[in-house]
Amino acid sequence: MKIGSNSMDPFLNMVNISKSFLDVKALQEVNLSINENEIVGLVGENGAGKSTLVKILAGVYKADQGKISIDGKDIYFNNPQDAKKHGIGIVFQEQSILNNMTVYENLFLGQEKFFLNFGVLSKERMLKEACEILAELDIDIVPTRNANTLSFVQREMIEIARNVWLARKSNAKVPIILLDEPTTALEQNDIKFLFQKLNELKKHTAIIFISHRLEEIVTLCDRVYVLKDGKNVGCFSKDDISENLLRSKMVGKELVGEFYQSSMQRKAGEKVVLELKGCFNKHAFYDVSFQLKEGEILSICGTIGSGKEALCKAIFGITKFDSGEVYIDGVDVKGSINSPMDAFNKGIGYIPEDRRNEGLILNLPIFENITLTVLKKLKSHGMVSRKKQFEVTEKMVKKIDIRSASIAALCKNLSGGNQQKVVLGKWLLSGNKILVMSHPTRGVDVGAKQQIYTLMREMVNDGVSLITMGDSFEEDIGLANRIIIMKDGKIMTIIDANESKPTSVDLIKYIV
Amino acid sequence: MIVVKMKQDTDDFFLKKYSREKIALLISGKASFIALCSLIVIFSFSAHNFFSLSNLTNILDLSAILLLTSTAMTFVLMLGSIDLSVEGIAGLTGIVGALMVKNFSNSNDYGLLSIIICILIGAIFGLLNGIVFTKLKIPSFMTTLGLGAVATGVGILVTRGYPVIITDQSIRGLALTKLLGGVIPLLFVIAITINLLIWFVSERTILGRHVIAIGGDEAIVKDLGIKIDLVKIIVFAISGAMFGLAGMLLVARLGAGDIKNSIGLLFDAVAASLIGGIAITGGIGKIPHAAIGAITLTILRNGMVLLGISPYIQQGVVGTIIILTVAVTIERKKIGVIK
Amino acid sequence: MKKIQFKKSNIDLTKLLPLVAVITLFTFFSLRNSQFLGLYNIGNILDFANTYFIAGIGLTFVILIGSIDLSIGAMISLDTIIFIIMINALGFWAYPIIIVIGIALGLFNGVVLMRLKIPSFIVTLGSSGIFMSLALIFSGAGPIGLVPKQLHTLSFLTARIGPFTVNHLLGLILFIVFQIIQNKTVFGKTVYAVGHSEVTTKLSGLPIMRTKLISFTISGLCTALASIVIVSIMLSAAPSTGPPYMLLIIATVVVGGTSLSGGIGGVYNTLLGSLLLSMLRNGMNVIGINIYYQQIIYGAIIIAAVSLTLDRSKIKIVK
Repeated sequence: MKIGSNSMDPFLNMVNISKSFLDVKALQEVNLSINENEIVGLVGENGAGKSTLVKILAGVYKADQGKISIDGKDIYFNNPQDAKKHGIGIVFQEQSILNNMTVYENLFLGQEKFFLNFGVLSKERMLKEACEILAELDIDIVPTRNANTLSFVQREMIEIARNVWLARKSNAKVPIILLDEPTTALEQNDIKFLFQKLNELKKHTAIIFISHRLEEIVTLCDRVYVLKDGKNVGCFSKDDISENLLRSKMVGKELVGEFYQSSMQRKAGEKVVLELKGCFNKHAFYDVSFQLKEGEILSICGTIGSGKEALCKAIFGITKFDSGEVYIDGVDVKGSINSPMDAFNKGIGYIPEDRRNEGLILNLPIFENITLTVLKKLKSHGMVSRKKQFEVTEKMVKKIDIRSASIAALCKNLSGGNQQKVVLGKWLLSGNKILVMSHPTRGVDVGAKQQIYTLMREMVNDGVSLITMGDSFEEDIGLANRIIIMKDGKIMTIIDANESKPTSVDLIKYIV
Repeated sequence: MIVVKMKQDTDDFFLKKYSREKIALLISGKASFIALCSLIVIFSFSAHNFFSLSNLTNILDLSAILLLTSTAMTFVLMLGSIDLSVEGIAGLTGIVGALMVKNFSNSNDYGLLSIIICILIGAIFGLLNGIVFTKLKIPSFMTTLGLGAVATGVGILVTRGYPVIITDQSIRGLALTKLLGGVIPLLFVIAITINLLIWFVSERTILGRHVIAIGGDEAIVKDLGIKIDLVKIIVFAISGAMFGLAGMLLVARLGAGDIKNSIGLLFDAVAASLIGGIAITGGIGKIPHAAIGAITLTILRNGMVLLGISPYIQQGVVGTIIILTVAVTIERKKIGVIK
Repeated sequence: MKKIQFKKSNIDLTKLLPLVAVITLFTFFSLRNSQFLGLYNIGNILDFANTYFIAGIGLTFVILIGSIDLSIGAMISLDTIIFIIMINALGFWAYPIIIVIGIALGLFNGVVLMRLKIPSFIVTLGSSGIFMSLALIFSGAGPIGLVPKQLHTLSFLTARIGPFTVNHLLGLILFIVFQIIQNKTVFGKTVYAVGHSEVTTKLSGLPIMRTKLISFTISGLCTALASIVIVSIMLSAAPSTGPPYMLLIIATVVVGGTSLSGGIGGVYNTLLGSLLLSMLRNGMNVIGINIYYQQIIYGAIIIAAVSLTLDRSKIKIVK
């Protein structure tokens, strides 16, 4: 460890933590430590392992190896309750405040046993303690308010208060609060407010703060850990950190372009196949305009919450455009795309991020999955011909090299890479010319990744146009003809990558 | 008190996001009460013998057992589950209870003890419902449909399908006694007392609060270390016990234990709970609203009879109410895929 | 090599187990009691199985998409009453009329489900009240009998050739037709896809709502056809006719191996389920198990069958 080594041991110490999911190594021998009255930042790209690490600390996951110690004593968690007993509480992105209850009920949810008088719940005592803890942490929310009237930042404060209170009740020496991307859904004012609160809170707690917004990390944190690909790549104290330093550490070494089959990249055609003009969705993005050309790979970059996911979903009719114009092959289609089925019929396809639940029907065999989009075309005498299903599947399996003993094998028995190829095959077969791909290589091993890239290149050669959201900047840069960068629901810029590829640092300066 | 400043548009955003819940809260709070009042006004003007003391007593009397079953149903619905076994359990306990008091079929005479036995039998079936539901993870509507059929089967088996006529005056007295100068039926007093008791449980005990929490969002609650299965099992046992009691009270009113006594209980219990503003997705609603729902439904049926509307369409009206109230109160974002 | 492996994975336990159960039960009862194989008894078994099978076909599709139809009982009451009234008044025209009405009732359930987006068990619980009201109104709350001069419009259905009747032929034809619809049409494939994963199906551009609508419509249609069979045997109808069928029809479908969580099972399973239940009931009578136990056994069988076939990996929170 480079820094933070006082003469004393740190209050909380995580040593050599490793964790794998199926065949993907999420964490490899990661170290993290934190002292009392300290805010430690944790940064890294999507998929770098930040969330996995805090979930292990919060008892949600169990580490495959490594150990955790608090105050010099080794501790073991079997579930989140064990972690809470040691004063470790997590505030997740997806918040755990119940909308149908009041603030004070939410504060003490699951801990009502502290407020019993002969088996009867004393609301008076609950209210009193709620007022006390809220006052102590200087949170000005009336405890009898219904939780569904709270703003996002207020809900976060309640969760923090819940964790601090519980740590006290469990006689933990110092409450440790884990904040997983707490600022994603917040406005500037709210962020400022949250930071002010966190700085006050520091006096009684230790805080681990995860964010992808580097300026926040720089202003807030006393120390920062940088993770990349599930490994520690550095730990810096407040005096050393700058956004530039973190940025360069986050992206690491530039990969050679050949990994993304850049030599196969071709120039996009002239024809505009999809055009958005001034598109707006009141919850996610506004004034989005861009063109997609025939045979082009268009990447959309941005953090979670930048609006890119919602935009891609809206193109496929899953969510709605509240206003704006959409043209496909020059024809205005706004209003006629209200569902994925409509979008499908207009020649759009969608490859979802959650392959297992949304991309595939795991309990059906490969051939049924692959032919799902073309059932109508495989009819003979009004019946879906199984023979034709087999024929087209065999052909596709050979073409895109799906490794399976039989095309009748159930999709749940395939590896991640082969599963994704089935999804791609399904859309390849559909003949749709515009494909929206959400993280097409997520959770896939390196070899299969490269095959998928090759496949994408081939699709483009056949005149298909792709809109992709990659897993990393390198992937976006490596694949794309052009890169759209989104932040806070707006398109920041569109970078041309036809002639020369930009670097990750070029992108990241627009994003964070 | 200073309230944290929020930007106006974030506030709007949240109001919109939770507007359905707001509507549901509003409905559970006021709409059912408004519906009740307007029904009373409408029938007072249109049916001339509606607003008589004897008819009001009649309404309270008729609503008593429904109040009991809808209270239990509301408690289960708060979890986000449903209990369809009411007819089976009430039918069975009615028969067993009738056989235990003075009757024409045997020489038993256990008097009021029979009521406790009925409650116990109901609780055992409820417990079984809860255990099968939570441990075998079969959806509650299917579990209770199947075990309800088993209860009916046991009821038929006991008397080979024949009714048991009772002669026990202490039991009959439960249904025939009117308090306060013959105005308030004892049955209603029993039912409303139990309703208030369950209300107290739901508001002032750990169990009750956890029921609301589980109905609110089970995934969140799991992370907080709440014993979800145990809570569910207890709630199903309580509702089973109340259905058991309802079965015996039916016998007190009708003077005979018969498997057919309980036919129609389910439909009305579900309808009354829904009229009371409970959302079948759980977490929203209050126990006293079950009483409002039960009385509203009884007045509706009573008023339609007084107006000379064909009794045959009542079932259809109640069915329509079930569909429409669910359509208004359900929180669709909580279920995602509608099955 | 490839061929063999395909065959291997094609042997499906959900298809095999009910078949084994049917054969076992058949052998068991044949050996226990010589009357079991008698012509009259076999006819009896088929009669019983046939009614539940025909009504169960519709419910099979509904359960395959992961929904449920609790209005079948009330639909049978309404269908049988209308059918008798129509036969008495119009003779043979009653057949097309009842089929149209059956489709309309199913369509009603489907449209309410689609428009209001509320769970199917609530939609059908509510609509069963509406159908029951109509049954009460049309029948005047009592039983209606067939007028003797119209007996010939129905009697051909129950004419026996050996143990078989025309009703059984109807069941056989429906089996073949719906087996083809289920396995060979885009609709049938979509039904399974929706049942397994509604989200994936939706994101593959397939029509979810239309599929659900058609499934509920088939349920209405098959219930009407089953009502014809019921009337042809009972020659009367009353509002109380339908409800007792409800539980057994659900039992027929789930005992055959169709999973309540959707996507698993099919018309073939329902056929086996109907034979299984029918033989069980008949066998229990023949070897002298008290008839009063039967309701208990059916209830327990439903719970057991649902428990065995449920795909729990798909439902994270059980409500």
